[in-house]
Amino acid sequence: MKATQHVVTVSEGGRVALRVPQPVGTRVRVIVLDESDAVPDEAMALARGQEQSGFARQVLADPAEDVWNDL
Amino acid sequence: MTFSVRAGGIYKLPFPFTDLSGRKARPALALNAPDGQGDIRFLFITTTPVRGSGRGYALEAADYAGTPLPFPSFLRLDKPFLLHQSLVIKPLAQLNRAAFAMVFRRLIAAEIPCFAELEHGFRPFVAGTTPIPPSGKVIGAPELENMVEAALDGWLTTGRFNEQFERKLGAFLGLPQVLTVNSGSSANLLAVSALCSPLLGERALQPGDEVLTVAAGFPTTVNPILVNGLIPVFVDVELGTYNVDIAQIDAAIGPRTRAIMLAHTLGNPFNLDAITRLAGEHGLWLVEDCCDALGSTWRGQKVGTFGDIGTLSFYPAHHITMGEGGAVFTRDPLLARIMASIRDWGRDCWCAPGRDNTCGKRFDWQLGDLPTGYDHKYVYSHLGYNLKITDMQAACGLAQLERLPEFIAARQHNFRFLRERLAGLEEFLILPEATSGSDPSWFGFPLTLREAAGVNRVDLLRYLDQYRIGTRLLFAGNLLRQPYFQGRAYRLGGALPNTDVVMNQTFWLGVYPGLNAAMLESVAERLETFFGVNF
Repeated sequence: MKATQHVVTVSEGGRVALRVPQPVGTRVRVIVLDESDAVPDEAMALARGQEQSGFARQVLADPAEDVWNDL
Repeated sequence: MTFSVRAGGIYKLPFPFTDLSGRKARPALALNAPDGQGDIRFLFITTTPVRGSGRGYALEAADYAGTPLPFPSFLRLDKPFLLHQSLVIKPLAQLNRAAFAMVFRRLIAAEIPCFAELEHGFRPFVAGTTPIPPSGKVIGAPELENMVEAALDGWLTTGRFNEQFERKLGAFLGLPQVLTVNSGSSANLLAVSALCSPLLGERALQPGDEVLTVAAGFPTTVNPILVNGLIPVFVDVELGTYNVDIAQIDAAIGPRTRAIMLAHTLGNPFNLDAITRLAGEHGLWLVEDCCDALGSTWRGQKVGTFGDIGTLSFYPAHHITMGEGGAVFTRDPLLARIMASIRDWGRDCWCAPGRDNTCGKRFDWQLGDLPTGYDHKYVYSHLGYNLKITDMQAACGLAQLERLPEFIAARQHNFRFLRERLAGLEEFLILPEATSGSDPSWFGFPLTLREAAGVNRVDLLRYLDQYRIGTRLLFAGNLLRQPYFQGRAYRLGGALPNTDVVMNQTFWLGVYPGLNAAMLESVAERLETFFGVNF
């Protein structure tokens, strides 16, 4: 499934509304970030290209390196 | 973000970089604070060891300013990433200044092999187009890496690389006392000046004393004799070996003759049996100018180790180079101390650059007419100079020393190639001969045109030059004929007919390690064509 990004404003009581195309009953992951901390689109594009490098895919992606996840 | 990214900090970054869910993360070292666009150069850290200093750097507890990372950590130097500061999750650790500087040293060094290959690597030879120089430097990544390392030290003057160079050169020569200087000419100046030191008592050379030498050579073998007020006594040379004629040197000794100063011509040792016997019988100092002869041996022993002092040059034409540079070496501790003093401004103090009070009595000496306690650092016991080298030079020389055996072998191989290949030209040319008992580390391939060849040397040299084949004369030819020698004080130890032949008829070709078989074959073919042999 392709990830989508939405920028919305928080309403009273901390509510936000999202309209998504998935069928009713589909479980989706929602990540909430403060817009001021958001990664600019250009930065994401730059990062996306580099995560396809051989080193990223073969070395950094090695499960042995998952020891760093919980630091 | 409640923190700012600092150069030298280790940060947690999402992985994959665009997966902001926080499920996976990897640590990376920030090489810089965010630039104007918020971008940061990162080096990632893995638990997997990396082979090769240019590819990885193993972090140890002492590398951190504070708490280290909790797992084995290897910086991946060869895989830099450019990522935006907004991706940084949180700081994990901080490298200390020394470790961070070491990372940069490794990063800078890692680029050098590629550059060296581009700039100093193999280039195809095209006969008639590609120059065939008579001499030249052969340098590559090891020399550049060492020089960059020395430059990054910022020490600049004689330092840690020089200490290693002197020690390793001493090990090669088999002598403990080696001092670097800024040229081979300075080495000769230092050697002769040392023999004039008052610390030698009655053995010190005095103005007007004579030094046996030859006129067919380089001027700075003889110039130190002149500048110290001594009198050179010139003896003729042999053709073929181009060294002093042993049959004539005995007769050249006079009542004031006190020393012998001779070069091993173009790497070919002079007869050390005869010369050391002569020096011993007459109580003469012996200085061996080995500027063109590093690695040459006499009956299996390195030249320069027979006399009182040996000298070397590290100019780019020589067996090893550091750009400008040279060395003196001796087995006599007193001569070594004198030479160190004259090299280092003439001072009495022997502290290394940047050091103080090595003697432990810096403010306790009373010397000359100076007051007691006059700072030893500024007490001068000799008329001295500053002839030291920089540590960048020593760094280059250190890398060259590692390659010296290979360089010597290449020079000997190239010499043999030309000697065999040009055997058919003996009718026209006097071919070089190693002095019997020696194994030369040849500097060049000397040739003398026979009168019967009916050829002017300049015509032959011009012919070779048009095919980009470099030649050199045997330096000054006959030094006595040089403009600067007019009016100088000297004595002739006999007639010098062969020295004049050298001046008029001799030249030399290259054998340095940068020449390959195709180049040498091209040289041989051109010479054959010139003389109409195999044409």
